[in-house]
Amino acid sequence: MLLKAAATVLTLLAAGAAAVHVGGHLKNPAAPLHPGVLGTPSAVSSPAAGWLKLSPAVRASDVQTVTSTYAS
Amino acid sequence: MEEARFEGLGSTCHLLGVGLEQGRLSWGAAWVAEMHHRFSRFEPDSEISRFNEKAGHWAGVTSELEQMLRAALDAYQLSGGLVHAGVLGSMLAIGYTRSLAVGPTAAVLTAAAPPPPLSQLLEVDTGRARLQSGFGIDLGGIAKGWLADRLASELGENCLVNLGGDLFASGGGPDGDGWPVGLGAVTVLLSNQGAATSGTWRRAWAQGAVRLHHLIDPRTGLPAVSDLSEVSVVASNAVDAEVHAKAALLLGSEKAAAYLDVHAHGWWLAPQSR
Repeated sequence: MLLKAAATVLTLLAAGAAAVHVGGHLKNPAAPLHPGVLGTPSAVSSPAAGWLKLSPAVRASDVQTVTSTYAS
Repeated sequence: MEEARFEGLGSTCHLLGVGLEQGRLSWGAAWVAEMHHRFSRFEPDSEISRFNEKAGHWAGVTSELEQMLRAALDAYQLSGGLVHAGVLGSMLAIGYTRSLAVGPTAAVLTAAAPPPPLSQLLEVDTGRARLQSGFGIDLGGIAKGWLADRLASELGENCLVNLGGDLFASGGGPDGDGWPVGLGAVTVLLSNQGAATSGTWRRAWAQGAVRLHHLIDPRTGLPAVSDLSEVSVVASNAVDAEVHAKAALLLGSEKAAAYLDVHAHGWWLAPQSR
C-alpha cells in the first residue's frame, strides 16, 4: 500500500514537473522562419511547403486558376 | 474566353485569349510547332543543331535565332553566370541526349565539365554568330520564355501564352483584373507579366543510385545540387522569369530571397524536402 502511494505521488510530481517545463518552452510565433535567409519574415508567408513573397505588382487571389507554371 | 492545349517544345502548351477567335489560337499552336522544328536540339536539321555543327566558324543565323542567342547572353549576364546556354556538353554527358519521352541514354559523368564563360564561347553579330569549337548551345528554357513573350505580343492585347510552364499574361484576363495563374501553392493575378518555375524534380531520372536531372550548374558542369526543389518567379516577361527562377534555384535558399527581391515581382521557394 505504501509502495502504491509512493508511486502515485512520484507520478504526479513527474507530470507536474513536465507541465511546468513544457509551459516554459512555448513556440515563439515571432521566431524567424526556417531557413533564416528569408530576410524579411514579415513579408514572407508559407502557405504550404514553401515560402511566398509578392510585391505590390502581383496580387494573390482565390479565383480558380486558368493555367499554372507547372505545365510540363 | 477561347483556349487551346497541345503538345509542343517537349512540353504541354496552353494558349488562352479573350476576344480572340479559335482560329487565331490554332495559328498560335502551328507557330509553336514550327518553332519547335526550328529550334529544338533534338531535331537534327533544326537551326540550333546546324549552328552547333558549325562551331568554330561564323554561321549565318535567322533573326529569331540571333535574338535567342542574344537573350542567352543577356541571361548569362543577368544571372551572374548561373544561367549558361553553353552547357550542352554536360547535358549530353548526363544522358540527356534525346527527348525524355524517349528516355535518357547512359550517363558518363566524367565527361561533364564546367564550361568557360558564355561570353568567351559565343559571339553574336547581325545575321551571324560564332560558337567556340568543341561546345554546343542548348537554348532550353530561354527559348520557351522568349517564344512565349513573342507569341503573346502577336496574339493580341488580352491573352495568355503558356509554353511548358514559361508563360506571359497580356492584358486584364477574363474578368479584367488579371489572369489567375497557379504559382507554387497560391493563385496570383498577372497582367502584362511573365512567370516560370524551375525545379529539379521534373525532367529527372536515376542511373543506378545516382539521381540526375536536367538543370546543370555551370559552376560544376553537373546537375545542380540545391536545398530548393523548385522556384517560381513572376517578372516583367517570361524569359526574365525563367532566368531568375533558375538562378535562384542554383543559389539555394541562403541567397535566393535576396536575389529575387532585386529581380522579381514575386516568388515562391519550395525546399528540397517537398
